[in-house]
Order: sequence, then C-alpha cells, then structure tokens
Amino acid sequence: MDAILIQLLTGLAGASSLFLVAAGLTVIFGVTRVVNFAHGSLFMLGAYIAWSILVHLPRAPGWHAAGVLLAALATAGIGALLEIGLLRRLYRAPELLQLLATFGVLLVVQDLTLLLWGPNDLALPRPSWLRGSVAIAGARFPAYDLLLIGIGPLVLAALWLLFSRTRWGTLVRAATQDREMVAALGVDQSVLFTTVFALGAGLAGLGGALALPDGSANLQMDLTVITDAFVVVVVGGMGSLPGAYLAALLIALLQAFGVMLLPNATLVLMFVVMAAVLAVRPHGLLGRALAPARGEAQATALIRPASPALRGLGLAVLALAMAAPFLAGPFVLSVLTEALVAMLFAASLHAMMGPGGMASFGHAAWFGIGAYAAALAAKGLLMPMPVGLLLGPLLAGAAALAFGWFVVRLSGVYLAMLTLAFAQIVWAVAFQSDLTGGDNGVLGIWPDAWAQDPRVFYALALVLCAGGTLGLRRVLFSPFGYALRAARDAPARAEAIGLWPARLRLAAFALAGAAAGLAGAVGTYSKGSVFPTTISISRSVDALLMVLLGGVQTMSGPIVGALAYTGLYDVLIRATDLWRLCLGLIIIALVLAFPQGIAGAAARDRTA
Amino acid sequence: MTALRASGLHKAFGGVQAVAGVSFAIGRGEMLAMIGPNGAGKTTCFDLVGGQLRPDAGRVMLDGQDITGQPPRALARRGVGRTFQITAVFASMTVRENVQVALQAHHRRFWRCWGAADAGFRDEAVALLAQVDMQTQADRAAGVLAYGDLKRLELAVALAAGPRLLLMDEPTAGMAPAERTALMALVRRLAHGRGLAVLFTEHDMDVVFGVADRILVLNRGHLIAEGDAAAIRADARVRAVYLGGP
Amino acid sequence: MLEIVGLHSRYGLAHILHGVSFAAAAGEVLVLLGRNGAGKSTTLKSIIGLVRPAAGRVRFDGVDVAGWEPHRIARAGLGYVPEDRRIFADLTVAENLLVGRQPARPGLAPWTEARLFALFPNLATLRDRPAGRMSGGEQQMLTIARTLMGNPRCILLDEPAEGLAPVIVAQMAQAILALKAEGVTVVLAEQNLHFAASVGDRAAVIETGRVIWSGPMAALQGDAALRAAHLHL
Repeated sequence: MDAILIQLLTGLAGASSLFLVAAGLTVIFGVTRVVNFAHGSLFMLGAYIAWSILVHLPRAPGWHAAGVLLAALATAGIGALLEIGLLRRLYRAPELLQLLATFGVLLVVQDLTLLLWGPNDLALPRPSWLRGSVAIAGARFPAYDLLLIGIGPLVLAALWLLFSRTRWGTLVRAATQDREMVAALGVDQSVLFTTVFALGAGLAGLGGALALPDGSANLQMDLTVITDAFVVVVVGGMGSLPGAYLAALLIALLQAFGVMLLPNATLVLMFVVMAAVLAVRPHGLLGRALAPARGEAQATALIRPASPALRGLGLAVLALAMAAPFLAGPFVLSVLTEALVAMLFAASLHAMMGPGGMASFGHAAWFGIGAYAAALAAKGLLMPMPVGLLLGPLLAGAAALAFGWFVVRLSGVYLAMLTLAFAQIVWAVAFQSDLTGGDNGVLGIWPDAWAQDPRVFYALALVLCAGGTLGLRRVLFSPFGYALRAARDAPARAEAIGLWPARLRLAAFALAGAAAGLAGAVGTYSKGSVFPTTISISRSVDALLMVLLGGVQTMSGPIVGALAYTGLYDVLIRATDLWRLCLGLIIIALVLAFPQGIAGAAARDRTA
Repeated sequence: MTALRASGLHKAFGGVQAVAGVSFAIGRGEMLAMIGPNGAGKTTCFDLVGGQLRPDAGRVMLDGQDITGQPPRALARRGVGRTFQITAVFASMTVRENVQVALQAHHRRFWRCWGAADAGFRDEAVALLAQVDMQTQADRAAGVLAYGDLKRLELAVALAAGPRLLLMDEPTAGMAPAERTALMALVRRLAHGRGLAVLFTEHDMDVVFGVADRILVLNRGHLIAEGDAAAIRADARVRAVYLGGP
Repeated sequence: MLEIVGLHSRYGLAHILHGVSFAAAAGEVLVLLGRNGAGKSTTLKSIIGLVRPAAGRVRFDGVDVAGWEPHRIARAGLGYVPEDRRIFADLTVAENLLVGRQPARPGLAPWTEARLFALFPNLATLRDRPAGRMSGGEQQMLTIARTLMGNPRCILLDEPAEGLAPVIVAQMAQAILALKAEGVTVVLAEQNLHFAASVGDRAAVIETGRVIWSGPMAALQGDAALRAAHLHL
C-alpha cells in the first residue's frame, strides 16, 4: 500500500515535468502548426542556462526560484529569436520541411551546447532545503518532488487563465482555429506567432530548469525529452492543453508503476497505451480533427517511366558498378557496399513517402529490425547468412504490417510523429534488452565462408540492393503502384472508383519496411556488427535527407540522393568534429533555400 | 424501372438536422436534378447515397438491393459512379493514365505488383476519352488541364467502371456557360443511350431546366417539391426559398 | 473610397480574375453581381489580401494596398466578411467580437458590443454561447458584427444572404441599409438579383473574371436582355 502511494506521488511529480514540456509543444503546434523538433533542445538549454545561473547565486529558496524563472525567460528569448530568424520563413512550407528545419536546429544546438558547456554532465550542488524529505505513510518522500506535483496544475491553471481571460489568449485561440481569418480582422500574426513561440520555449526552459535538482544537465536530454513530449502531445490530442496534462498524468503514472511491474518494458508499455488510445480516439484524448492547414497541399508532379536517355545512364552506372570488383580494392568496395545499402534504405522510404504519401520520421526502425534480425540469426541461432538475409526483410516487413495497421489511417504530422515514437521504442528495446546486447550491440557477424572475399560480398550486396531498388521501382510502375498513387493524389476519388486507400497504404508500408529490413540485414553482414545507433533518430533523418535531396516527386530521386548524401556525410565526418553543427546548418540552409521542397515544386500562390 | 430508391433518409451533425426524412427514386436512363439553397442538405444527401456518410435512419436500395451505409469502394463495384464538387483527378498521372487506373480498379487488377501499368487497357481508355471528346489530350498531365477539361476527365473516370448510377455533385461549377450546356448535354445522351441513371446537383437553372427529366427541391433538409421543369418553375414555395422573383 | 483597377488573380485551378475593374464611392452600396464561379469571392479575397493579386491596383482612400499583408489592409479600414462565415466556433459570441476589435476611427462612431446587439438583437441573448452552437443565420450576423468591431470605413460582404431563411434575409437587408446610414461603404458580392436590388445603389456585373457591365441598380433592373444573358432569373 505504501509503495503504491509513493509510486503514485513519483508519477504525479513526473507528470508535472512532462506537462511543462508537452504544454509548450502543443501550444506552439496549435497556433503555428509547426511540430517543433527542437523543443527538447530548448528544454536542455533551459537546464544548462539554469545551471550557469544557479551556481552563481546564493542557495536560498528565493534565489533559486528567481534563477529558475530567469532561465525560463532566457529560453523564451531564444525561442523568440528562433521564430523570427527561421520558422517565420517556413510557415508556408510543407510540414515535413518544417520538421526537418527544426531537426537542423536540434543538431546545431547539440554541438553549440557541447562547445559552451563541455561534454560532462552538470549537476547542481544540492543545498539542504533541496535534499529535505517528508514522511508520508511511513516512507520518506523528497520535498522537492512534492513541489513539482504542485507546479504542474498551477501552470495549467495559469495557462488556462491566460488563454481564457486575456485578449491575447482569445486571439491565440482564434488563430488556432483560423489564422487567416484572424489576419483579415486586422491582427498581426507575426507578433502573435513570435509571442506564442516564446511562451512555448519558456515553458520548455522552465521544465528543464525545474528538472535540474533531480538530475543533471546533460547532452542526451534533448532527444529523451522530445520523444516523451511527442507521445504526450499525440495521446492528449495535438493543440489541447488539458489533453496534454491528462496524457502527461497517464504516461507518468504508467512509467512509475511500470517500473514496479515490468521494469524492462516501460517504453513498450508506453507505446501500447499510445496505440490503444489512438485506436479508439484517432485524434488523441481531447484532440479534434484538424482542419487541413491552409495552403499546405503538396504540389504533385507528373511521373513518367524513365526516358531512353535516363535508362541508358542507369545501365551505364550499373555496368560500372558491376565492373567495380575488378577495378577497386577492398576499402573502396566497402564504401560502395555502404552506398548500396543507403540507396535501398532511401528507396524504401521514398516508396512510402512519395507515391504512398506517408512521410516517416522513424524509418530507421525497419532498417534496425532487419539488422538485428540478421545479427541474432547469425549469433544467437548460428544460422547461415542466407537465413539472416531472409529473416531481416521478413521480420521488418511483418513488424511494419502490424504497426502500419494502426497508423495508415493517419497522415502528415501524426503519422510522422508516431513512426518516430515507434522507432524510439525499437531503439529502447535494443538498448535495454540483454538479448540484443544493450549498448554493446552484437559483434562478430561475418558473411559465410563463400562470401568472405570482399569482391564476392560486394557482388552479393549489388544484387540484393540494386535489385531491391529496381524491384521497388518496378512495383511503383505496376498497377499496384498506380493505385497507390491514385489513393495519394485524390483519396475520395480513388475510393469512388473502387480502390481501398487504407489497404493500399498498408501494403506500401509493409513493403517499404521489408525493403528497409533487407538493407539493414545486408548492412549488418557488411559491417560485422550492429549497435542501437542503427535505429537512432539521426539514422531516420539520414534517410529523409537522402529522399528530400533527390526529390520526393521524382522516381530516381532516392538513388541520386543516397549517393550524394553518403558522400557528403563521409566528407563531413572525416573533416570535422563539429559535423552535427555543419550538417544542421546545411539542412537549415537547404530548407530556407528551397522552402517549397528541394525537388523544386512549382511556386504556389497564397491561396485560402 | 427504378435504379435507385432512397427512403426516409435522416442525418444530423452535432444536433443540426442536415437531412430530415428525404425519400426519392431514380429510374433507369433518368436525369434527376437536386436543387436548393446552400445548406439545404444536397451534398449530405449525395454523401448518404454515395456511401461517404452513413444515414442515422432510412434506407438506400440499388436495383432492389440494400446498399445503406456501404463504403464507396463497395458501391463502385455495384455500379455507382461519382464526380465531385471540388474536382479530384490523379494529378501525378497523364489524362489517359487516370482512366487506365479506373479501368484497372474496375477489373480488380490493382494488387498486381508486376508489369507496367501504362500498358494495360490503353485502347479502352482512349475510347472512353473519345466519348467525352478528350482523346487529343490523352498524353497531357492531368494536373495542368483547364477546368472544363478536368470536369470531362472526371466524367470519363467515372464512366470507366460502366456505372448504372452516376452521382454528379455540381458538375458544371466554375465552367463557362457554353461549356456547361455542352457537358450536361453529353451526360444526357449517355444517360438516355445507356440507360444510365444520373442524380446531379446544380446551381445553374439554365442547365437544370434544360437537361433534367425531373427535379427535386430541398430546403433545410426537407424535400419541398418534386416534378418537371414547368411544375418547379410554377411552385410558389420554390420561388420563395430558392428561385426568388415575383 | 475603393477603386479596383485591372485586378488579376490566380486561385487554384478554377477561378481566375482577368482584369477586374470597378469603383465604390463613399457611403454607397455597390453590388458585385455574378453567377457561381464568376470570380466574386476571389475579387473580395484579392482586395483584402488573402489572395495576392498577380497584377492590378486596389486603391483604398487614395492608397494602393495591393500586395499588402491582410492585417495591414484590415487596419487601414477595410472589413471583410467571408462567404463561409469562418466564425471561431470554439469561442463565445463575446470572444468572437473581441477578436475583431480595433481602435476607433476619426469621424465614425465606434462600434461597441451594445451597439452591435442593437443592430442584431438575436445576438444579445447568445453573448456567452460558443459560436459553433448557433444557427446559420445567427452565425452570419456574428461574422458581420465581428468585422464591424474593427470599425471599418468600407466593408466587403460575400453573399451574406446565401442559404438563409427568407425572414433572416430580410433582417440582413435591414442591417446593410443601417450600415449605409452610418456612413459605411458596402461592397456586396451577390448572385441573387432580388436581394441585390433590395439594398444596392449601383451594380457591377462580373462574368468569368471580368466586369462586363456596371451602372445604377435601376438600369440593370430595366435591362431584361442583360439580366437574361448573365444572371439566372
């Protein structure tokens, strides 16, 4: 009984922290329709800034509170600058590019934080008042956590007053429903958006500063927090503050009690709850169907089979690739193998994103499942390589089919966020489980004796990856591919001619998962090992960048994009330690230069 | 002979009765127009018949079979075609490919993952395009067509499944007056020639009075009048709520 | 007061303006008449800036506002009431009015909640009701009242009587005449000649994105051939 009470209180304290971050994210999304990937970075900055302020202040509670508020204000200021400098230019861009730009910010902030504060975790020396505890039902409960429990509802109430009792709040709520109409009534949206973004950033900063005494400021905070916040916002309903609090409570209590009951499965549990909520309420607990944000329609380009010239070029490149074992040494062959794996990975994402119309922010999940399936078949079951190469795509495809069942009804940001959350859970399983070797990964997976020669393995990779890519291409030009594209171009029309869009999308989802799984399996045998980083967010973003670089609207785009990006990445990693900073800046520059899509979608008018 | 019979249709959205007890029937080869002020429930009626919405009460019978609440893809298989108020074509395909996809869907080929799609049903597609006078534009991108051509392409796509009933929601909205009459005259020829039943909504009274065999008038979710052009023109209630004038 | 010269706009695939020109004098009710799809809504949206004109001038009070951001045009004194009402459904009537509030303008008596409730008595009893839970007619009144809170010198009304019960249509006509009496210039987009004639001083007939006739309302009513060719009645 006492243990339950303590877990309940722990859960409530966790809910407050979660709510602060999620509230900021949901408020920003509600008005600007931008899913702010850098929201976790603002949380992290809040913690670091609070550390820098608080170590210089006296340890009394009053000073502490002032320092925390100051840190929140500073983060709000950073948020305002971010909105004015970057996001303001992107409100008319496709939402995927907005997400990508904020991911660029995340990368930049990571390296800048490392430069400014160094690689070590920064903990706050805890004065006595912060270490105090209260006796509750015979157990000691940290007093600071009690404080946190109170702060969540307090902030919720303050936000409620702000949004319901002030003109600013009324304008914000009106803009959430129809920002164009608000502008037509004479309200300057840019001021509204900047202040909303600052408020959201300030809440994230406050969350980070308040989390400091219970832990430390560290460089992993941004990604941990953003995943949790995404889940809370999606479960609560995007744009709903009470929904965010409810979902924060649900998730935090689940985590608190999950630790007691199923210590190794908390993240999986979180996903199961999310899937269950979305199965019953597709827009979250208190969310509602979003009116399609105006002017966001993706320009569609005409897609034609390859011209004879392009075909000739493709054949020439293929012939060159086939000649490579006779021309190049083992090192070049291994780099080429990597490029082949990247190409199939990108092509698989493109298949669901381009013709399928489903953008994924967690495509690394399927790649990783394929990679781990192959690795465990080889190390755990001592199976020969062909079995591993078969199990990879099979398991990844099956997992994609199961997951796709829940998500193909969704689209746009919801789908992207759910795929991301799922990938994070696959990552957590790989990271936490003994079976997968945790952080150490699975090592020593080498091709069977017949394929040990780098030239033979390269030839195998060429057959599987180039074959897989061309196979996907062929499917996309088959009746199925056309039906899929029909369902993307005009879903209502597609249904009216007898197609079943949800089923077509599900099939495309599973097919893309299987192809990514094949890429993962080949990659594992090529590298000889697999680590949880195979499933990391940055791996998913790699795939996205490859597709966007090449152009979503073209059929050859992913091939070109994968080869170009693999080259760029290799150069960056070799050239500088600050590759995140460089990559982030390149992403931001690309998105700003081509806000209508890098493929060069036709400029669109400002329409209602 | 009756192609479609709707009886006692009801549909409410959040307490507002959009359609309140509407019944009507369409015969084979009949052009039936549905008119009324905006918000009268025309589009809701269409969605109830076309399977986009499920009625709160009432039945929809197609050729004597109950199709109430079946999804559009099932209705398509039973011979219900539809065009939309906001024109929807497959913008990433050519004009001919738009029709080819519809033909593939009709012949249940869409799970085929091998073989080039643009080789299938080429001649049939061109023949359908010829029916709506679009054959010369077969290889143009559907996304760049002029508005009137889009409407004709939509008609060809809807005809690809050889429908018995065609639902057309504001088929001529946004077209020039001459184009409107030409398009609807074409539909009328098809209807009378093939025994195709057509239900359409329309704001242009020239078109309605010119091509409809029979007219339904809806107001605030209720059917307030039904009859031929002369009867509707003379109806006092219709003049009051919709046509206006003395 | 408002002078449109050679306005060109692209708007999706369907509606394109090919050089719309007309003018509304201070204090008059100008009716922009035309069929569905003729370009009435696009014209009004181009004037308020929701559609950016590709070419042409929008002179308001002697200043060319074409290409300005919508909020600047609205603050300059142009009010816009959209065809689909676009009320903020989750906000109460009072909150909807609050969103529309702008500073008073010299020479015009500022609109207040009380004055608007006098103009639209139905709204007074619904002050704290979420706007989404009102009838179509009440929503139409609210959307006009909301725009008036910005104290516009000229108001653009897009088919305010469409789909309303006849008795509400009559109230709407009364309200438009009351606005005129206040000195507000009204530009009314309409396809119903009957309603247009009951409030309009002058008319501009628009067809496939061009103004093909303009003149006094009475002249239009006297010209049966013109009406038959371009309007449906």
